[in-house]
Amino acid sequence: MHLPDGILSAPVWIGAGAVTAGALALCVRRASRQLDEQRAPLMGVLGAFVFAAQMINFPVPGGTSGHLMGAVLLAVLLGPAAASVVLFCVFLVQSLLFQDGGITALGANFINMGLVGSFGGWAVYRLLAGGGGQARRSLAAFVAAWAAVEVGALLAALQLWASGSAPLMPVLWTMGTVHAFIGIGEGLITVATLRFLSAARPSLLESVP
Amino acid sequence: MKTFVLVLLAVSLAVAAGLALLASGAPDGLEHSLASLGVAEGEALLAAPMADYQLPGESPARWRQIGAGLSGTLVVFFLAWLAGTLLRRRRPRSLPPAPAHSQSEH
Repeated sequence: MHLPDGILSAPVWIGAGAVTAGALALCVRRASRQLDEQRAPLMGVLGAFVFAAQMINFPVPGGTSGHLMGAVLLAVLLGPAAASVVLFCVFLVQSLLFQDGGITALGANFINMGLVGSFGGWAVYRLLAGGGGQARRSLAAFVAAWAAVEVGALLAALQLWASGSAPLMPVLWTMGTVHAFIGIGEGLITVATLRFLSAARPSLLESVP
Repeated sequence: MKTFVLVLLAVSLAVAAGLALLASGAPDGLEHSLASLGVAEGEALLAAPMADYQLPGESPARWRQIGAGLSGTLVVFFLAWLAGTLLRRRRPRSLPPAPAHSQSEH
């Protein structure tokens, strides 16, 4: 779901870039108050994992494909602020080294696939998981991951519409339906990874800011 | 923790090098939507050194993809680790030191 260069109008990508700069500054402030000694290498390796997982496109019905975005996964493991910083690193490397996502679209891509999931998805997760057991936490992570992908896709559709690149209802409909399927993959991978990591290292989820 | 990080890094490298070869080549959700609406993708502003997850060169595409995946995974690993380290350095002096940590406050 990485928007390329040349498809968003200047007001849209500059506006999204400004939102991204402001949000990133707040994330840096917030994360720097919360990080403990073990978080820095953990941020590195979880970023590496999300980058690698994003290379794997899984097929979805309708002749298309999707890949993990990983924002809810990172937010549950690192807290939303540190997760956002890690996701920005991933998108930056993807756009500069791999031409995956335009450089001008970096802000919009960070909002759609980073901020929406790491803050919005994380809020949904916390709300649904409560103090519940593993089954409830897994269900909460699935719903949060699905919703993050769907909302991010609809936001991308709105940005395309606001840029004059696509008509409103068709772009909302096609992005919304395709990503409703992709979100199922996102939810399954998120839950499986969380369960695997919490089984391998139970303390991981206890100290999250 | 060190072991955990190393094992997870090895898993990530294996995913980037191995599983990625099995990835679906079908257009992703956004590409599919754009194509179905007849929207042309724009020109990239800068040519990236490993566009489309392929190292440049004459080797077979499969090897160039493995090389690109491994490089990207390592670059993100060090960049996000560096970001985490810089964030910790930024910790305001008014806050108590993080647990099990007593140096590099300034």
